[in-house]
Amino acid sequence: MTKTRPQGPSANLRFRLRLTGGLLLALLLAVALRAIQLQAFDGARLARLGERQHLQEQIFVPKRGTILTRNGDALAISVESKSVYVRPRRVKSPKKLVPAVARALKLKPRDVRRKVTSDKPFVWLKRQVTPREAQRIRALKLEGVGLYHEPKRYYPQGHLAGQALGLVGRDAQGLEGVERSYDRHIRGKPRSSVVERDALGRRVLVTGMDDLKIRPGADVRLTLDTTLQHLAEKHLEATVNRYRAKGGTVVMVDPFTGAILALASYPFFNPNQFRNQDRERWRVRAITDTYEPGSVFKAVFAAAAFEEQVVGREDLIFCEFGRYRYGGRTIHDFKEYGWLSFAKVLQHSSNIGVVKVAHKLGKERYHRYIRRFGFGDKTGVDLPGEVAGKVRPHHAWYGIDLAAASFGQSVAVTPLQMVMAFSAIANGGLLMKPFIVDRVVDEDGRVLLQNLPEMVRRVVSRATARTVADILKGVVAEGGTGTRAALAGFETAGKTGTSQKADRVKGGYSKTKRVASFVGFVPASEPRFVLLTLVDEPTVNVYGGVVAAPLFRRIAAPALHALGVTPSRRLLPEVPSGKDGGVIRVSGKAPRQRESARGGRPSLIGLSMREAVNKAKQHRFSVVLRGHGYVVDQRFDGAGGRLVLTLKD
Amino acid sequence: MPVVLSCLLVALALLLVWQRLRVVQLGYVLSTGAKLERRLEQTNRELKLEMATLTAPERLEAMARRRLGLRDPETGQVVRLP
Repeated sequence: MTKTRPQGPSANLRFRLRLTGGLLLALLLAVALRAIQLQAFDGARLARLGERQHLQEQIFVPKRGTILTRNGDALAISVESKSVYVRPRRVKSPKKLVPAVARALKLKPRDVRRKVTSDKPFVWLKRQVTPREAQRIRALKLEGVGLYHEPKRYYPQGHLAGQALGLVGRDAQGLEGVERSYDRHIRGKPRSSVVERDALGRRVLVTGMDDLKIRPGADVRLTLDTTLQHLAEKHLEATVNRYRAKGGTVVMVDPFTGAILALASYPFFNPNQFRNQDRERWRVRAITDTYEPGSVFKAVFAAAAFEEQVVGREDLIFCEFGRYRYGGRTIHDFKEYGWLSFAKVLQHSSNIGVVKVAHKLGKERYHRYIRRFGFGDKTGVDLPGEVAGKVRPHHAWYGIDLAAASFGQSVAVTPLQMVMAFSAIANGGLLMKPFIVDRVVDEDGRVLLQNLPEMVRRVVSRATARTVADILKGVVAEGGTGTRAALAGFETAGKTGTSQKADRVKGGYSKTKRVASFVGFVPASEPRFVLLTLVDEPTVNVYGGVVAAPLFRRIAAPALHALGVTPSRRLLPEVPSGKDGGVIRVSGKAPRQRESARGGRPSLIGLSMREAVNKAKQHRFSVVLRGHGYVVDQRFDGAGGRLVLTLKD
Repeated sequence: MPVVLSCLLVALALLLVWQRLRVVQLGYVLSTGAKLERRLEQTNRELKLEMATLTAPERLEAMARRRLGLRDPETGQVVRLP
């Protein structure tokens, strides 16, 4: 560059300035025109192109956490599934698209057309399609129709603990049961963010790794035990069917912690197909429905009477031979009794005997204990929909009411309340708060929440609880009303109950509708669980001792095996020893073996019992085992075609 | 001096560009990895679901009874070893 003196602009310079200015102006104009062209004429098309290529707003719905039993078996699990959507504005030729999509998704063409021609930017065509439908849609390669990944909830165990699990709505929100009460944890945090993609459609990280991870909701571990829950449901179903009842409830709780081990209601509810099932089935009946407990409540009454020392267990009470007038009504007993000790009054479930003691106790004191045992208050269990039941205030008790309350009519309780009251008797007098969720654990195994046993209050002294438990053993023992609940090898304590249902239409009590129930715990001195069995409106037989007590035994016996509780030898029936002692017969069809016995007899000596039985089975022998351990001798019993093995440790 | 300075400037600029490129590149690697992680996690969940379905107590019991001919033990038949 040459230096020019700034002495007034020469003609040359002025020309050059104008030229430059004009050139710049023309360029500017060109840019402006191009901008107008892009914006005004091609704008819509280009924006669409760009958006598809570059920026995508995505809503990330995290998968819901898994719900597990305490054994670690999954009860509810979310797996990604696909939904089909359409962006109507992108659809070029609805005429071609509609029939193809309708065929692929098995939808009515009319519905598809309505959705495709809607003026919304985004419409679901079909939610949670099968993998095959997804495949067909992908194969069609249609402009404007796409697949969206969203999680779907599965309940792999079907109806197992269905009501307690609850259910989940289409947008992954918990609606009932644990799914609802722990929704905050299970759901996780949904978020939407703009995802940037490059020209090749690859994702560009805008703010780093954090963008990539959609953290699933936290896992919830229940206190329910898979085996116990299964046992409860299996036997409940069988009993309800056997007695042609309307339904039934089973609750099993660890009395020392308040952890719910099993919680079943029949008819069952399968959350996989909740849309096809009656809403009635969703309810967790053990906490949402009340019943009048009947004679089972005498255990609560007895605890109050002992604690207040108005009666001793051996005090004699005259039972009026089955008829007694009190509060303007006549009270009946099932059988005619004369003088009975208070323990026997409970064992035979005499209403008259209880009423006489109730009169001594008085309504004020009795009412106080009913409330202390938790009746009339929610238990505070971590499930939605709980009711408090109904206990009228004592100043509203008239005439027969005190008597009725002493044998469990005129109070409305939930099955769970009843179980918790019995837990207090079983554990030495403490009312615990029940819970069904053990803990909530996030993806990395950090414990976010843990439910610890929580004591509500001491209800009665340890000595009183002991005495009541002891008397309840008599109910199950010879001569009691609950003998059919007795378990071989274990001391069982419990109480039967048969109550009339309140007639909601006519008022008063129904003549035919009954509730048969049994609540008990085992082993009596060191209970592993409190178990309630309740059968609603049985028809073949209505008595708690006949309908509900056997159900208790059927569930409790295998439950104790499952929990690994050893039966007391002292209580087991004598096993005949000697000749046939400890003989286990293995028979039944043996599986077809290719290398069948070539006439020869296998030598089983030295094998363990299991191996020996297996091998014998392969050779299609039925086996008789003597002793246990390893085979030390074998003998062929030609007549019976049996192999007699002697085993020794 | 100005030559050295401008050289340095250019070098710095190149470094910056190279850095940006690396970031984008690593971003791709990460997102591919994340995709894989997601897929594996999905497979894992599917397998867990399958396992839970297969080990449902109702199914196991039915199989044990039908296929293996097992029965509930009688009283006293269960011996618990210490």
